[in-house]
Amino acid sequence: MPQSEPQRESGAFLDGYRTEAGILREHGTKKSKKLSKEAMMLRMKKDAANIRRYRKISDDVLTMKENNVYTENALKLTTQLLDWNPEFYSVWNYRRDILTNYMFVGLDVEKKHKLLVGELMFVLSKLKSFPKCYWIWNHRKWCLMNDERANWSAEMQLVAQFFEVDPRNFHVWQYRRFIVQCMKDGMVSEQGKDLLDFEEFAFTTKMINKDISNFSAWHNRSDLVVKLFANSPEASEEKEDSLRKYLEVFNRKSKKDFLELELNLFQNAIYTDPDDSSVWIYIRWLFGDYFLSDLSFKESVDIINRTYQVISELAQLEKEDNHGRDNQWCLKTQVYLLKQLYKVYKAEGTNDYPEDDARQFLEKRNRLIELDPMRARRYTDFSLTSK
Amino acid sequence: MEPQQFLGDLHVEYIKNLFRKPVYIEHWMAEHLKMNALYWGIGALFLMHHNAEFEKEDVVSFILECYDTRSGGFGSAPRHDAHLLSTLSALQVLKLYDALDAVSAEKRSLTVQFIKGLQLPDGSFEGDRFGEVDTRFVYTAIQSLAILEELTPEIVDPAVNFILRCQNFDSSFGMVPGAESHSAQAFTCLGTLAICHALDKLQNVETLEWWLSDRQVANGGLNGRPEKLPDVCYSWWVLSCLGILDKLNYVDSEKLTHFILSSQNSESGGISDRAGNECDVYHTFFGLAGLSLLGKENLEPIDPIYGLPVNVTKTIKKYPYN
Ligand SMILES: [Zn+2]
Repeated sequence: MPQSEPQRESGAFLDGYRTEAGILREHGTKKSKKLSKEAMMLRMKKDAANIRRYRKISDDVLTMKENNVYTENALKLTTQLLDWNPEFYSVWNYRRDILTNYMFVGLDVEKKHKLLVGELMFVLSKLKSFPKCYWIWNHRKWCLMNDERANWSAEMQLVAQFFEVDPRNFHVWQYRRFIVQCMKDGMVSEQGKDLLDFEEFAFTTKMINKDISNFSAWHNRSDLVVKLFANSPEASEEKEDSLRKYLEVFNRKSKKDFLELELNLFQNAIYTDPDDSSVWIYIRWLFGDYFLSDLSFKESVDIINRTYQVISELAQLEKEDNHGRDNQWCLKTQVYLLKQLYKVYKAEGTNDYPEDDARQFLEKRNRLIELDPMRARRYTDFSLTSK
Repeated sequence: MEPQQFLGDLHVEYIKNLFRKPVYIEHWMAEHLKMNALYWGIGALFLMHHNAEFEKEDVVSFILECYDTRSGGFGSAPRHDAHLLSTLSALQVLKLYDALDAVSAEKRSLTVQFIKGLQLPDGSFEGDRFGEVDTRFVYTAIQSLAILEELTPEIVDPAVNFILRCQNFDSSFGMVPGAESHSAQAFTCLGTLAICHALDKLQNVETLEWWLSDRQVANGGLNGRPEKLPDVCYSWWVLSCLGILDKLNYVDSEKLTHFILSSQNSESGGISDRAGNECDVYHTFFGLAGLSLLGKENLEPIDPIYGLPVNVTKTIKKYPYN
């Protein structure tokens, strides 16, 4: 048959991805040297066999999936394929269908648990190499949700191991919250659930003391504080003095006393690293409406002023240490506090907001415009009355 | 030397190359991202006014091949399972080519059912039938239904309530209630509220605007969370949020432009997460999207709510429908 002019090969479009062009690389992948023609040919040759194998096994698995083949052999093939490419979400889906429709059938709780323990080991081996892959974490959760004998404390230990490697991996934090929720769901006593929240709160203190710039820990703390105030756990015989104080404060639902305790914590943190934004974001929250709305006018004015004082002292020290340069986080927090103070006066219906504070506000805000010109516009929009 | 000129022609070539015959094993292993890659790649071409680099019929027939008859959604590649993420990308690309009609009425109504069927009682969406919940999926579901003009109060109201529950102590948003804030999640949440015409329900807007503008670091780039390195893709995730709140001027656009331009690859085209790193189509698209929001390089203006050119989104009927 005579060759006609080259036709667009049907299905050739988007057959895959070519050469150096990537889709979504691991963040921070350093640029590699451009391959020479020879090196490229060599690599293609080397890859060709792998590609054949990979395509063969993908094809086989997808065909079995399409034919609803649920067998042990099919499960084995998904293991092989996922071992190679744990991002292949359709294969995780298929694997779950095999487990549900075949492997679990006829198993009692204990046997099912044993099977899932093996599954968790496979998942763990994948997570170790891909700790940020959504699909793998999701599969782990699915396993645990299907196991009536799930061992939650083992999962908490696993979380601890992952924190050793990266204490800010948000998948791990999310997983920890999931485990805690599962543990709570399995508890009958409300007090038990609340105390678990309190243990988690204590854990954030531990993480913060280890590294005050662990924002994930500050975040989790804020989330737990809201829960603990809502449920006000009964005080138990907590041994450690500092923890007992917190437990009492939650029990009495005293936001004012909580702020007093936190004042110590964040004072320590801002002196440790005044340039780290984590704690400053937390302070902003402590003086937001969630807390202030529970305090009397006098209490609010008092604690805002004292905090302002603490930060002013640090600001002074910072300035001396940095050849007259102001610390921006001190300034930003100062203007914020002055504005919150203004709101407190407003809410009380008085016009006694100190003139000196209004002047300080303007002065510090203008200083920020100078020091942080990238964000000049947000400062000019920021006034005592802006909402 | 880091490039300071915009290398549009090289980027067009880079994207065209991307979709040629695969040769390395990694290309095959990235199939689970193909539909997303199509949206990033073609989205990038449209931003650079290169709408005709690919044949519309090729693109459409590829997308139809990815239709998953078992569920009614679109998978990331032919024979892959449907997921909300790939379904939105498929609909976005069809919308770019004004080709939604290529999906038959029957299939289309199954797609609507597929999406709506993934909403849970608390208003959230799971990405597929296996229960993973994330504000990303709320956004992809809501934008998909917006493109199909199938939003209803029964879907929208609980979704909005769920999104509002994801706002954190720092006023930004996480993937579920209680999860740490991240600017990509902030985008999905603000985008959802905007599509649902519910931005007026947003609390602590000023603190959120500060959180967003604090993402800009000294070299002009934006990061995703406090104390993290800057990355070109946040030029979209953060900037789109500021765009939705009408506060683009809360960051320094010249410095950000400089950061994005220095992340271009001056040999083979494309943009990487930051200067000196390997490029990919994801960062190429989001880098261009950022430049477009800043009104740079004569790019097609992009809609911060939808991630599609404004001239495309203006043809989408806006909720609430009258
Ligand atoms: Zn990135």
